Amino acid sequence: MIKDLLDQILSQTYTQTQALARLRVLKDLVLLQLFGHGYKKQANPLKLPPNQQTNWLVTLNQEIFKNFTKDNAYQIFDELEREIRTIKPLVVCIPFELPEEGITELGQYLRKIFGKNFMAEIKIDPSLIAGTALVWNGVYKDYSIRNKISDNRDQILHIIKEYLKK
Amino acid sequence: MLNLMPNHLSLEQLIFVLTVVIFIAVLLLIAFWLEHQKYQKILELNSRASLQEARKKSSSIIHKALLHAQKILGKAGTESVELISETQAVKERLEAQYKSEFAKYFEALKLIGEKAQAENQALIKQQADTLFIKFEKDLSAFLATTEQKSITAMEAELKNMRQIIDEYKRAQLGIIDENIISMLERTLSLVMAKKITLKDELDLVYEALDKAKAEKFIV
Repeated sequence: MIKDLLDQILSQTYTQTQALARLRVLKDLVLLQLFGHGYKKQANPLKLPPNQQTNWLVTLNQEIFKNFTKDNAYQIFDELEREIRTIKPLVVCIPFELPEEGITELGQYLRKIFGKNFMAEIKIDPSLIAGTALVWNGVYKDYSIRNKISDNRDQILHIIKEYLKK
Repeated sequence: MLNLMPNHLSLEQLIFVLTVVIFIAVLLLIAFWLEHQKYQKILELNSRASLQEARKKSSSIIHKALLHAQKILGKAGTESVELISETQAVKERLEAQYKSEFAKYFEALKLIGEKAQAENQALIKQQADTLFIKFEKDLSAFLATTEQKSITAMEAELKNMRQIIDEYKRAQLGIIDENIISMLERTLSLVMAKKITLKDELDLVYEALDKAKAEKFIV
């Protein structure tokens, strides 16, 4: 059951931060349904804008809510959170912020080449200029334009100097 | 060494002899006078009568003694004069001989001195020549060594200066290169931020992901 739930949650969620935020939204909604208005005072504030939450919640299969009861809800959410946290994300550094559709597109591509439930963490680094730098298992690898300039520094300088001579 | 001492008595010795003779004569006179006094006392004590005779006798004795003393003195004076004269002659002869010997000796010394001086001068000249030749050689060697050292030092200094200039040039060129790259990066960053599309950026990211997978960076 946990695996199915996780697959459903992660099917359209591509970053760990996004997954944890969506899990909180789902938890709030489920607990609200199970325990009524009394729960609201204890609920965590929602981090995502309302339209995004709503959009995502709508995409979920409504059968998912049948898995939660007053007895197992907390336990299931705890297990789901633990499962999400155990997934090792690939840190993708990009020079500017990606819109939601960009993250989705990137996430889908990542899953296409690295497998189901693969997750990323997006970091912004404007000094990259364009392209990306990746961090996997604590190892940093730069594939950006900045790195390409650095690798071809002598050639670039030669070209510029030759141009300036003219 | 020349024998400058005479074979006869010296003037000092002669005077000494004369003094001794005169001293003996004076002693004799005192002895006679004392005897005379004694005798007069005896005569006064013994008898007046014989006083006159005694006086005569003593006068005679005294007179004889005086004559004898005068004779001795005269003889001593004569001998003294003779001795002095002879001594003077000897002295003059010795002086002449001494002067002659001394002149010869001085001449010999002069010759020896001149010869020694000439030899010394020749030796000094030879030593000076040797010294000058050695000095010239040493100076030449020293100058050559100094010149070589100076050239080496100057070459080292020049090399060092060239290295410093090269390093400075390299550093300056490095700074210029850094600035060029920095300007290029800034320009590209500004241009890319405005001009690059989401699709192009994602294409670059996909390309990087493919490369990372091919390199087995992500497994």
